[in-house]
Amino acid sequence: MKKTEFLKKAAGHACIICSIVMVVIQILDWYNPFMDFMGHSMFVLYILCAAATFLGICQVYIEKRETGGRRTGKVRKR
Amino acid sequence: MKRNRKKKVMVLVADLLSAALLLGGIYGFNYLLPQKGIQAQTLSSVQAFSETQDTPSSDSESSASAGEAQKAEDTELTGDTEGLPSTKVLRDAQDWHQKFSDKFTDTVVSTDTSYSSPNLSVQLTYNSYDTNKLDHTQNGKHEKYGSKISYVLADIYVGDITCLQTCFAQDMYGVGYSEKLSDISERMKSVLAVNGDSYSNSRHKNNGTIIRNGVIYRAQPTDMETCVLNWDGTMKIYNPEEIDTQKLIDSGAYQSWIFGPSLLDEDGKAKDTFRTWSYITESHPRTAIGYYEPGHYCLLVVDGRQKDSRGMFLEEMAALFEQLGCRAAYNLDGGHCSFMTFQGQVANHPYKPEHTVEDGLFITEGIS
Repeated sequence: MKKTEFLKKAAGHACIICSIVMVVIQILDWYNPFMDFMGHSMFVLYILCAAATFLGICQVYIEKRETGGRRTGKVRKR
Repeated sequence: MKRNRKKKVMVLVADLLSAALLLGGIYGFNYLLPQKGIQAQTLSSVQAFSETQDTPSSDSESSASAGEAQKAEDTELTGDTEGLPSTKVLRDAQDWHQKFSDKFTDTVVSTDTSYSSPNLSVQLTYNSYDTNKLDHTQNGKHEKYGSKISYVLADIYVGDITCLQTCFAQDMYGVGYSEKLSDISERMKSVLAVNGDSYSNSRHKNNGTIIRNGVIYRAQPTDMETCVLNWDGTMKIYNPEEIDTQKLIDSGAYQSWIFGPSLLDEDGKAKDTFRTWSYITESHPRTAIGYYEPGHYCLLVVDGRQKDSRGMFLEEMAALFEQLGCRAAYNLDGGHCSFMTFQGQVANHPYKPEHTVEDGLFITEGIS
């Protein structure tokens, strides 16, 4: 659980950092498309997608588990 | 509470700093850091070597040049100046000194807008006019520059093809090398200089065939039209599927550029559709080369992104070259790179202070 929490935090920070970088790159590309900043920054997009996917799965999975527990009235003891 | 809030703010600041560092790293690594540098070969050494190869080839020479071409086609050349293939030096049979004798002078005669010598004739013409046409592209981003255009056109006659040379920034082929055109011009002792095709910029660094002063520095597939100037003074523009390195070696390619697009069709008429991406077709400062006949060329630099000159659309530039009577014309890098020097002075009116460039075209007195 500790590992998962750590990974979720890291993924959260990765999402913030990568999304800021992507927004700035999009602005730069709008201003000067010939420099093709986006073409040189695809790895940032991949990291953003991976982090967002991981966070999404964690969130949905935990929600599903918690929702499933409440419906049956059984709460899984940790 | 306060301590918690302070901690959250510090974490957010750390994220912002990390994003800034990442951006700086991407920019520095891809645009500033010199990579894959190859020392440029001098024109005199290339010419001396190539002329020894310029005899009817025996079987061993054919296979050697074919081997060199294959080596050029396999991978991008890195590091070693030895083994860089060069093209055959095939000169025009006609003596250009005689052909254009009315253009050359026995001694150097120069004014603010002209230069003539036994080898060279350069005449600058300035023109400006109002098109009454605003650029509405890019959501009206260019409308503030109005509808006027101004440009400088250099009409050039050369007695020898080596009067038209190219040079890499810092004399190095590769990514991340740039230098002011005026500094390269001083080093080359050129009469006239314009920026080149920025062969190693972000969109072109692994693209196409780069031949400079008869040496093949790169032979990669391309999606761009390639302009080739031959040792015999003829100029031809190839579609991407037409480019063949061995053919260029055999036909005596002297220089090649990969920015594009070409502006005229085979009959010298202005094109109305261009093989490039939409951003290039908008109005911009421009640099372009025009070809009349072996030994007679022109270089055009259009000012832009300012109230006195918005820049040219590609079709406007194509129409100008058709009007001039050029048989071929090719667009080079524009924007803030568009720059011309003449006898050590800035000849155009750039909208920004001089920008470093990756390469340039230089009109010199040639190799004696």
